[in-house]
Amino acid sequence: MKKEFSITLISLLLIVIAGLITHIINTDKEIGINNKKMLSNNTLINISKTISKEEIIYEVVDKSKNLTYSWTFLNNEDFNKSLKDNMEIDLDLRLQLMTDIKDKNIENLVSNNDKLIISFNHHGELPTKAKIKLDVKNKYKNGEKLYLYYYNEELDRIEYIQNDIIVNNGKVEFEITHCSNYLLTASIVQDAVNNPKNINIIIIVMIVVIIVLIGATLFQNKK
Amino acid sequence: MTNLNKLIKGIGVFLLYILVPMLLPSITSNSTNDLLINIGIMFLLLLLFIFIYKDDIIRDIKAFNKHFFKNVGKSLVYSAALIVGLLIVSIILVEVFHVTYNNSSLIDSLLDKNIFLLIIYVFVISLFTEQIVFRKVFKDILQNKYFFIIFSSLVYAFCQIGYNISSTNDLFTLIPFAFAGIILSVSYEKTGNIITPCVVYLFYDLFILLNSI
Repeated sequence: MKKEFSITLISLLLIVIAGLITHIINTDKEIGINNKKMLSNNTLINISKTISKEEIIYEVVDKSKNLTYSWTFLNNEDFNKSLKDNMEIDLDLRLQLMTDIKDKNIENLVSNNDKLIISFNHHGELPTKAKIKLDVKNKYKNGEKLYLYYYNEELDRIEYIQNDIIVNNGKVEFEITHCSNYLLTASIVQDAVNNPKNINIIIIVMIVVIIVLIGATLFQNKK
Repeated sequence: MTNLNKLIKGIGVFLLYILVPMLLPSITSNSTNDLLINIGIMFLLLLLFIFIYKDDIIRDIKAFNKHFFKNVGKSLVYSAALIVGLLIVSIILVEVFHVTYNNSSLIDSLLDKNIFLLIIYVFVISLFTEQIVFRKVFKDILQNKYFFIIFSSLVYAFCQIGYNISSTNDLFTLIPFAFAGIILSVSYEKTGNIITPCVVYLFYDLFILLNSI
């Protein structure tokens, strides 16, 4: 009897330990959920959701558009609360990214042939800052440095966001806080607002010009 | 005028041309009329440059008017060289080097916003300021014509898009501006009249404007 009781107790203890271990593992290990969804426009996309302690990642593969991208949100209280309240993003992919749109306004403002327009079906603020990882291997080469611009619809102008986006394994990563129309280019958009100003080049040119002009005057005076 | 006087004047004008646009964003950052204020300040700068070189400019205007049609004809020839040359350069850049170049985007964007500002900025302020700074200032100081043409064109190109250069690929976009600088400097060197490159560039801007409409 004593022996049976001991075995049962040990079994219960093992179950508790196993439960604890599972709990510890689960909090550290990512939880993956895969889901295939048919969107309203009859396109089948594959969405996988991965939850870790730090991040919630939604990976989307849309084979019909040859489009692969992921959303990464910080797994914090703000996001979860907002997610619950607004359902800004979910496995129904209400936050859908598109790169095949033709925006006449952007086309008018940006002549760069290498631009990639990134648009979302949702417009407005995101619950929290989101990191987007986008497959651009069909458009840009590995190692290529890209510029990210935002199209301000209200003011009808292109605004500079970031210029150090490097294509790595055919993918680029950038962060946004609201959904709207963005564009990636390998060259600068000349008429964009807040373009990074390379003051160093202008200062170097200024110094060179002054030195050359002084030198030329001295040389001509000697002659 | 002594060489030293020309040098001091020239460096002063060049520094103002470079430094004022650099300081403009900090002046206008909180203003809703930033475009208007920018254009207003650049217009005042042009008036200052005209005042500095007023004697030479008045002399050149008189000389240009004396043989007006002949000078306009000459300017048209240089404009044609500029337009055709830039077209060829653009095609080579796009097709061979895959570099996008568009010099009409400023006109396009202003055309959408305010036609009056477009006329004032493109056809008055930018046109005269650039010719005074890159043609008049450099020609006054540099006596060797070849050195003047090459050096002023390169500086012109760097000042046009130097702010935006952040990779070696961007350096290709200097080529069209340097080419435009060469044509404008040659037109000034050949005629000795600052109004000629102004008229050449005026025709070019008109061509771009008509293309944009």
